[in-house]
Amino acid sequence: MACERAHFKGAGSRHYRVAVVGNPNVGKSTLFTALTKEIAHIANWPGTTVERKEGLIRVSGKEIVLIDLPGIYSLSGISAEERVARDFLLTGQWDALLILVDSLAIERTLYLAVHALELTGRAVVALTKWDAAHKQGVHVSISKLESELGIPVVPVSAVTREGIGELIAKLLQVLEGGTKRPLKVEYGYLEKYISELEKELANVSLPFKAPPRWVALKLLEGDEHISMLVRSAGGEGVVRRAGELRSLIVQFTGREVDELEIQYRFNFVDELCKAAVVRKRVREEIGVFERVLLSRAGAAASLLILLPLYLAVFTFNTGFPLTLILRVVGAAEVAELLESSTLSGLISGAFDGVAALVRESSLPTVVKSAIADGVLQGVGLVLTFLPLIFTALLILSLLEDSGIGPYAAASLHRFFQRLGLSGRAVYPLLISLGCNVPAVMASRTAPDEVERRQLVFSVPFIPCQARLVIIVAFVSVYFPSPFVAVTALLVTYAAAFALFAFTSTIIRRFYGIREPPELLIELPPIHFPSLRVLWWIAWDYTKHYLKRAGVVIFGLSLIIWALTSELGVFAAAIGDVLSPLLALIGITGEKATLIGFSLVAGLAAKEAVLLSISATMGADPIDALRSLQLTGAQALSLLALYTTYMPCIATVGTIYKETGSLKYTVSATAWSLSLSLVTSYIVYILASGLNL
Amino acid sequence: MIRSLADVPAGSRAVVVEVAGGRGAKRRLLEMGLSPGSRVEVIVNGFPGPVVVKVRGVMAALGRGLAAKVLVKLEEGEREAQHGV
Ligand SMILES: Nc1nc2c(ncn2[C@@H]2O[C@H](COP(=O)(O)OP(=O)(O)OP(=O)(O)O)[C@@H](O)[C@H]2O)c(=O)[nH]1
Repeated sequence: MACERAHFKGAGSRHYRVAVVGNPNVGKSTLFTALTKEIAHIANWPGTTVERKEGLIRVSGKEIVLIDLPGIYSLSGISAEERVARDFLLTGQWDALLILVDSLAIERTLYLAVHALELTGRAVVALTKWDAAHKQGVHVSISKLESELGIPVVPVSAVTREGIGELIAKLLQVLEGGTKRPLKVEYGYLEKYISELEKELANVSLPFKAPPRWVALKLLEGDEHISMLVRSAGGEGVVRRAGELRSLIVQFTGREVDELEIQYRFNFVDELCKAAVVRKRVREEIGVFERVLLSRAGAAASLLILLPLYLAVFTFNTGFPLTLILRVVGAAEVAELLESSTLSGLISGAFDGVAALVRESSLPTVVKSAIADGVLQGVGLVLTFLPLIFTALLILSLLEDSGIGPYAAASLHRFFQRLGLSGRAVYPLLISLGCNVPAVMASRTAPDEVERRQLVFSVPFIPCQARLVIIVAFVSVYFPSPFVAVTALLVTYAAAFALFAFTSTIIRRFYGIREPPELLIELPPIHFPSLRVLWWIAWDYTKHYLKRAGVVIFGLSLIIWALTSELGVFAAAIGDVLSPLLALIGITGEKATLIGFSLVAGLAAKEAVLLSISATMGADPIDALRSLQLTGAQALSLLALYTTYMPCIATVGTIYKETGSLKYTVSATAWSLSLSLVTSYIVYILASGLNL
Repeated sequence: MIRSLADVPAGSRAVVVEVAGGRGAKRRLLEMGLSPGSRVEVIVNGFPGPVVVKVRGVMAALGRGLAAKVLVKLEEGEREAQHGV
């Protein structure tokens, strides 16, 4: 059999590869972390933003590499995740499968397990969340499952670590054992067609590793990808025959083959469950909390939970928005004190301190500037985001792991649907109001690959707190009367939001999808999450931010330093480069140089825009801004430009980390820049027309 | 009587008869366990919110558009009469 050839290869060596397969929410990340203390390798699956994790288990002198496949419902290849998982399984670059079945939802999660076992018999099934199974009245006959499926079944709990050792032992047994037949599911009416195609397939040498029976079924159901592969291997005849048989079946039964196939497979699962699972109904009613979240008031209730959590995260890290409120009510000193004692404040304070020491030292000026303004700034920039990312993602995993997240997503779905997004987009959107960096990372909760890209492209348009400072400064200088000021502020946010929505829709269209996403989401019971798991997940993200985004951010900030340092040759020229563009909105000469320069400086961090203007003019930011003496139209146009022109380099670095693709990073940046330029120009024309 | 899942009142049980709709949506629904013959219990159903069902031991929320694509038969003795108004 084709699939077994690959397995012999691994059998002799002491380095085994095991692919981990399971439904979303089955407890895969949790078990993965419990099994492997060491994440050996992390990257994206080629051409996707789907993360690929590999972990290492060392046991009795042997190494087992666990390859984490994305959480999926089936191997049919509808979503990017399913394609990734299926394509990898078909390469045969694994020695066995570790298949996860949720002991709390066996009737559903066994489906994928059965589907995967039809591909290979070299597998172990882990029944996850075993600690909770008894509490919920679920009783499983393990021996019955084992005999019916023909493979070892091990109940495990990542929380109590029960069964973890046995699971590894069983895995090793399978890895060191011989070949095993794949599971045979009875497909009733389809059987005679399957065997006909199976026989014909014997003459085709398949370019992938799968049992002929499995391939026959895929051909019969009309799977385009598999059909294409078989055709390219000289199997046109079989594919054509499969098509004929398919029409025949549709004619006779009035049903599509895949519908029948899914039903037969579920029948198999049902029979199995009847024999092996007893479910005592402990609690069928859903709780009050869950009920409220799903009621008419659910959207409001969800926001009531999410908003304070994220406000707390940001206040704790940067003081925002509490500092802003304090400033508005006139307590600027308290605000400053608060700001300097927040995490970001403490970190940047420490780096400023070190930088000051360097500046006072007797090193040559260029070296001093390179260390203080280049290296230290860069490292400081990377590090100030760490606590923010950690806490923002901690809250995110708290929401997701407790089960609140899916409820909030369901109740908010209706609003986001209009933007071509799902309810889960609430996280990145909310977080982006504070900082775009963790917001881009939060896009990973998106239900599919396309939505993930929509968010990565569009989230940077949402003004973060650093940009709010710029907006407020502009507004207070150029539109001082309270009514106009508030209007200008709201209009800026509305415009930024419109750009977000526009971008999101365009990207969705770009992938050829016209319909808004349909809501179909699992709602786990809300429970107290395992703190250990939350910690793992948040720390994992933070570490990888540091490793992958950190390097990029540091590098970019060095470049920005080299370009903008007053010692360098670029400083004078850099502003002039952008002058022709600024001339479009009637800003020329020295002013254009100054603003152009500030735009480049602002790439390092948006707050640097004001600082660079004030440093050049030698005044405090507000006075400096005033002395630019812009017209109302110019001010509005510049405001639009400053608010949206480009993600800061920390965001760019994070986009690179999340997408793993230079192409996407560059296009997201270029898109944001061009859209922003066009918008600012339109704003200028409109505002001039209104004689502002 | 056959009706769409979107029209099944909360608290009722039903059996899936057929899933309509485009290929992708249909497959998704089927593989989530809403395949013909599966028993579903409607937990929450209030316009314009989602329809929340329990199927195969899992609770799931479906948008109303998707729910309308799932045709079901109410189980005997379920609140057929009440709903007929
Ligand atoms: N009681 C119990 N709960 C668990 C266990 N493992 C995971 N869970 C819970 O199951 C839920 C899903 O766990 P994850 O590890 O995030 O599942 P996943 O399969 O990675 O899910 P996705 O990230 O959606 O693919 C979380 O709420 C966990 O707290 C376990 O051993 N016991």
